[in-house]
Amino acid sequence: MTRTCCYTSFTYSYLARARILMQTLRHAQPDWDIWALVPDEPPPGTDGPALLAGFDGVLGLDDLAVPGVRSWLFGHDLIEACTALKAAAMLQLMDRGYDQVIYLDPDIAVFHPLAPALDAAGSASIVLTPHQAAPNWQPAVIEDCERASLRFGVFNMGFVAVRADAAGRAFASWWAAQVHAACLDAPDSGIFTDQKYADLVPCLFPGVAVLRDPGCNVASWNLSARRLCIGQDGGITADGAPLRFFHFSKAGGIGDAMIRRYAWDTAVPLELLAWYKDELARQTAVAMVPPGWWAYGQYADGTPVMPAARRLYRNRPDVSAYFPEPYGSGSGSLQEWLGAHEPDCLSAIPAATAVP
Amino acid sequence: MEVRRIGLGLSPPCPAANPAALRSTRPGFQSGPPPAQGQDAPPGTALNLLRPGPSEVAQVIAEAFDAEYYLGTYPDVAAAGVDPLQHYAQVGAAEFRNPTRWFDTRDYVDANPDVQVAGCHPFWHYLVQGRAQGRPPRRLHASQRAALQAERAAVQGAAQPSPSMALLRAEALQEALAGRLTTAAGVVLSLSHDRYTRSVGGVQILVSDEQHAFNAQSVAYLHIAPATPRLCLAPAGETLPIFVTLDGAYIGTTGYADLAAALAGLRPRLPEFRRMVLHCLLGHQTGRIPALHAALAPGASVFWANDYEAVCPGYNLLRNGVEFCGAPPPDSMACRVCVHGPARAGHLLQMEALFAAVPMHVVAPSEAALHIWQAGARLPYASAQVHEYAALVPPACPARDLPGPGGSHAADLRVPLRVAFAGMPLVQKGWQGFSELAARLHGMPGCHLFHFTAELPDQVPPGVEVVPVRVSAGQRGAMTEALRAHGINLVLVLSPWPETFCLVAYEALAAGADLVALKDGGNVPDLVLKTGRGVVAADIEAVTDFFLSGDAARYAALAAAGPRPGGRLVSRGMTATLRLPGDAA
Repeated sequence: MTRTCCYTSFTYSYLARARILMQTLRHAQPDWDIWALVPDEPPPGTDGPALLAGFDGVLGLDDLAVPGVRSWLFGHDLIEACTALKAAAMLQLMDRGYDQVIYLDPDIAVFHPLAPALDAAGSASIVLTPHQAAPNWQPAVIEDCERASLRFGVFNMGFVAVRADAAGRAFASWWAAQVHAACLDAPDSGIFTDQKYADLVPCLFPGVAVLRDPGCNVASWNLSARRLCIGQDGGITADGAPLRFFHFSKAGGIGDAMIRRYAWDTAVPLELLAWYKDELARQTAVAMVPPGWWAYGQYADGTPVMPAARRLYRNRPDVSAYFPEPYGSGSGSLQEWLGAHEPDCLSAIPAATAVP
Repeated sequence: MEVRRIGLGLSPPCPAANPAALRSTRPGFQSGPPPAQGQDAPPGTALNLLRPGPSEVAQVIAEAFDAEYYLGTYPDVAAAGVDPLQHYAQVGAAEFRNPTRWFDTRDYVDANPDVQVAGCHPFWHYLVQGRAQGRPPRRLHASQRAALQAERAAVQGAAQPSPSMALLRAEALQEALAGRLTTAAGVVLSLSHDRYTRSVGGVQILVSDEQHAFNAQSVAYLHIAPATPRLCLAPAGETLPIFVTLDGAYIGTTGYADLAAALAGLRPRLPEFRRMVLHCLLGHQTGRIPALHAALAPGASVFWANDYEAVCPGYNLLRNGVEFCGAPPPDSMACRVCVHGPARAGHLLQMEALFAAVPMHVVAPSEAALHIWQAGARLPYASAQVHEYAALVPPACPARDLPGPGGSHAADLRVPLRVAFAGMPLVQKGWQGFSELAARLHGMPGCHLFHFTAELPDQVPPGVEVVPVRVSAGQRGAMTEALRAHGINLVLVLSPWPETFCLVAYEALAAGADLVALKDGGNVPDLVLKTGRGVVAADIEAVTDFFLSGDAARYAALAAAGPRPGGRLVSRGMTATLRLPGDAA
């Protein structure tokens, strides 16, 4: 029997979303193990294991085969950090005996079982979902969708599935190496975190399936060409196929406007969004995590780490070598050194830790 | 990871929403400078525009601006005596007023956040660039979006706390009831969601009819309603207060247990004919009803399927208030995403327990209602039958060959269209659809829209004349008379759920008007098909097409050329005219 594991990557500030994913996935695929990759530490005064109750397993920074992971992490903002460690976790889970490992972003909710879609991919070693599986023709929509895919990646890496075979392992190893070297939000350099690398995957590895099932990874970026319906049998469909999972990107923020924009003439996407936001409010109340919390987004004295400091640390091997423990405060710390030599690094806009 | 749209959406797996970007989702468009590219900038399409000043906006939009519509829709602007074009160009759009009936400012801003962020005037943007880009001037099914919000607000709102009041204990209650109950020819214990004597609505009118019909047979009519109104069943636990009314006169407030004790104490002296009738259980503690049943020991108990509360706490079967759901299984995905879903499983357990404890004769007011009830409720019952609330006298005229939506007709006769929405401005009565339609039809030559109502809506759709009508016990024909007096030829009954009966549809026919119904409207489209009096449309868009295509005018002309049918609506006495197995002679 195939042992399947699904995991997601998040910090505690995204716990509410991750719990929605976990619970909806559990309902749809009760036979799968669900793991959490958490590049974070629990907020003071909270019970970390209790917060993560419901997951079958948890991977923390120390569980990953990433040398000097904490100092390496300092060179990355929150988004980069969460994405950069996905590949290492994928390898780790394959090493733990899973035959099939699936990654899902935490802001995804599962509606109908995923297994039939993966079965349709046959014996593929690597399964990817494109942002769009049907063309758009209106200029404004193309700007939002096709152009964005060309800039930020053809495939949405909020989902990727691999088998623990030679091709699957080769892909995960290659991906881990790429993101360890550069997992940056730098589209002008041809890099967009861990996602843009996936454009190369169908060329570099055998056994790659592109899952064009319209029920997979439905989101604002492909709603323009997928019609959602709720049938009187109680099922939800996207272009006639069961809606397997919906990606609620930036729900509660700008994502709401994008869904409203591409809901076109049906209220169903708005019904799903309203449900998701209700769930989010409920889970947020349960999680009790301070808004914006990320243990690696601040120095020991609580001062936020600025993007400029992260860039400097990443680009100056001498500095990173001299300060292998960059999060400290006080005498002899990187923070003190920055204040004396690179004061702009302490006064710029905070890194992406100011989360609503 | 996922695609990022500049300013619209890096969509990281971890929190990264930018506070500046969040601001763009607020109502209203901003007047400040557009954000820098690469930070919170919208797609380049909007930023290619230079933001014009008010005078340039006015110049560009002048040709498409409908001053007559604007002044008719916004009387405050007319009263102020300002130029409507300048008003819209300078402040009206920011207040989400509409420049024509075909452009919805709020919709456009909502659907195009780049326009909002860029601070462009939305109508100007649409005319200069959005139209060519294929951006719609208004969204279809705007009414559904409004209903989605309204339903969540209603369901998630807390029940008003019970007022503190002195409760009648069993002994006092027994004393208050004894004289009437022990001397009547029979006793009916009736339950509904409110004191039917204090408010006017469909259920209240029918319960009142039933009381009078039973009273005419010398049967005492004892009615209870929860003191705290709820849109769901009341929680179990400590007994909640209920109002007691006898033959229309308020007796007092008590608890279920006290009422059960009073009835049990009186039972040896009660007449043989005893019946329990459940009209509406919202707000009731269903777990306490079997004790009432045991105390009264009625020969028969009736569950009146006035709606679908036995199937779902969303008793209209409107998923999220938006669309007829078909009563799918409670563990379905549809229920999972519905605002009524979380409560449905527990609600059904309570219903199952009630139906297991009390053998019910299910009575529905129409075939459509009974069919859906039987398919969806899956509850045990003793019998099931249809018993209409009321009948038209004389019966409605037979079908005429009149055009419906999409029909093709040679006749090109035209008479003034006098079109009405009759009744409370409620989502479940199709108010949202009517509002949407009214906006589209406003200004259409020869088409006059009315709203006959006892309760004024928050916002009167543009061009709609409001006619106050209050149906009361003493003026039961008030709606029919008002429709007839105003020469209404079409009444829109756009209920988006399967109506179990719909009194207003019968009142319309009695007034000589014909109906426009939606296909999922339950008994209403059935009534149209049965009588040939009206048209059935697939959705609001089809209704709109019916009017805009001229078919509605042709329909009215042909109908006017024939005899003008009408009649009276006569109550059939509700359960007072039913003989049920178990009834004493």
